Amino acid sequence: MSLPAAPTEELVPVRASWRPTPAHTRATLAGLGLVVLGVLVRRPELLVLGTPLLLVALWGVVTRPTADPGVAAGPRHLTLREGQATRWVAEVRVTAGAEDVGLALMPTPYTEYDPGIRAAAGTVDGRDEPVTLAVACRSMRWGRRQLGPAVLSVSGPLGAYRWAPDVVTSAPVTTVPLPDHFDARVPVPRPDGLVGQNRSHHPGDGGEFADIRPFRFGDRLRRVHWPVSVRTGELHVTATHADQDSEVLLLVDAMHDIGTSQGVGGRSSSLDNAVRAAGAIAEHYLRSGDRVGLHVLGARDLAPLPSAAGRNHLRRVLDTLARTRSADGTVADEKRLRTQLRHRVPTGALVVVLTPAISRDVLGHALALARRGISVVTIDTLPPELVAEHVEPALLETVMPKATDTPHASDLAWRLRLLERSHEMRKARETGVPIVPWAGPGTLDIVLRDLGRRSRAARVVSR
Amino acid sequence: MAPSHVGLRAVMALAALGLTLLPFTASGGMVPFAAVLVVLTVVAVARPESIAVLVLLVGQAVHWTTTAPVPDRLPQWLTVLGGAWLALLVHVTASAAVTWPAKAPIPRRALLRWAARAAIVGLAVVPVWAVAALTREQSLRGEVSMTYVALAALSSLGGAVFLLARPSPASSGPRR
Repeated sequence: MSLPAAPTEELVPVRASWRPTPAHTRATLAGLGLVVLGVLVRRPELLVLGTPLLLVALWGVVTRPTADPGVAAGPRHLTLREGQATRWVAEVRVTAGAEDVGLALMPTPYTEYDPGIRAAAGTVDGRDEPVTLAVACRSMRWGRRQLGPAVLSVSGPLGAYRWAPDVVTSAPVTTVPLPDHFDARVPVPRPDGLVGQNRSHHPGDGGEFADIRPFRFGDRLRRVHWPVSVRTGELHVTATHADQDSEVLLLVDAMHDIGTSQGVGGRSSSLDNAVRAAGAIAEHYLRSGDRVGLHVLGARDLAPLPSAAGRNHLRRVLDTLARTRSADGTVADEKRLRTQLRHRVPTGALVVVLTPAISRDVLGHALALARRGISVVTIDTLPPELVAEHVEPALLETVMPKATDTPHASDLAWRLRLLERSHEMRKARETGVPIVPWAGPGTLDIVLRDLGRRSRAARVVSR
Repeated sequence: MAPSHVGLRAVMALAALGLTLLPFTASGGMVPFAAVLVVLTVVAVARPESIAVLVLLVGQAVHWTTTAPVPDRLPQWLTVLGGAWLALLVHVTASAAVTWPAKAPIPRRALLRWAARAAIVGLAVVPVWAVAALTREQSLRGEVSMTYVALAALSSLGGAVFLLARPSPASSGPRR
């Protein structure tokens, strides 16, 4: 189980008060009741039966804890990567009378616990050292989730008094996606920035050869091409294409989350594929010095992330991706999507749309952008098992409710939707929007090369 | 459920069943009543945090008193002592079962401490039992005035326990 390198978080103090337990009430009531009844009805056996219970109640009262224990609890890390683990820790500084400590965590989706029972028990060992209980939690899927809540209790002698808050909640833990491996050897078609690593169409300082031309005032001497200059008798210089940075805009379609998500190493849903692919693309281009922006389409309470460059921006992108949640499919979601689709796209930007192509609006938006002369690449994130010949009814449940009740009809309906989808995708390709399935490294190479060729050709666009 | 918790509940069940059977050895016992107590035992073992444990303990005492005669010989008195120890065992195991999460194994050190304390309480019962047995053996006639004094003392004791058991306002801070 790998642990994050990030520094550990401070544990949050927990407050509660000592209260008598039902066991103490039972011992008091039963003990006193039996003894009194024994005296009243002159039955000595009742007196003897009630005596131990009364003694236990008296023991509990005499050794009653007087001061609250110092308890701090919570997860040790608040940001993880998929597959990484942290520890949910409860530190109890015991006071006089506090003896036994118990901790139990409620299950959290996409989280593996060690021990698997999500519970721990401890007791004071006579020394003045805090009792520490810990449960390791491994986050298996990106997202923002609260570990627990936890139930924590500190008990006094013979369980007569208990110090227990109702539930212990902690700050949510953000699990950023573990980006797939991605690499693109072909540059972005039309870089339009200041400094970067992509070859632009403009002449300027750069590394890639463009032409040999006559010397002009201002050319650097080290650019002089001596063989041509000697042969022609005039000074000639080597001209290069300028190296510029480019802007990549990622549009993640969160209108649907289709398929089963089993976390790292398991099956991936369409949103898993989109988020991990977006993370990988962002990581690649940000490391190459380009600017990356992110819009999550259909997501609630998630502002668009403007384009920027740098390592810190990668953290912002991954954090935004981690907070992505799929839409509920309501009318409000459709309205929000239409609003989100009215965003600005700078000239020269490469727009990468990550979609399962189930929402017509998103595919239509990609087409509209392409018609405006913007380089658009669509990555199909639909899980391959949903395009297979026989789709499991359980998988179909993620697409249409109650699919297991009517498996044949549901299968047929899904086939028809897939036919419709392939028709829409074919139309999009014909219009000039390349659609490629996500395949890790080199996914975008061929389409970027085609887009580069196309961008150099003359064409008519609608602005 | 952790093996230590299974063990605790097994001890609790055996103690409760033993307490149900003891009146039969003391020339008492009633089968329908005992059957109800067995059902209560099952409920109490399944839910040791519930009121079923209190009902079970009170039911055991009522079963004993209503069906068995007042003990007058040493073997019968020994049965009463065994009954008191079994009632103690039922209560202590039920308390221990709800002190830690049922899935977490109980630390051995804590189990030993609980066992030692239960043993001390069990030993402390012996003088009370001996006085009760001797009083019966000597056929001492009670005095009504002394009965009232005993009742007043018990009421005072109960009141004191109640007052001490109340949660003190000073310790109840804001909750998280």
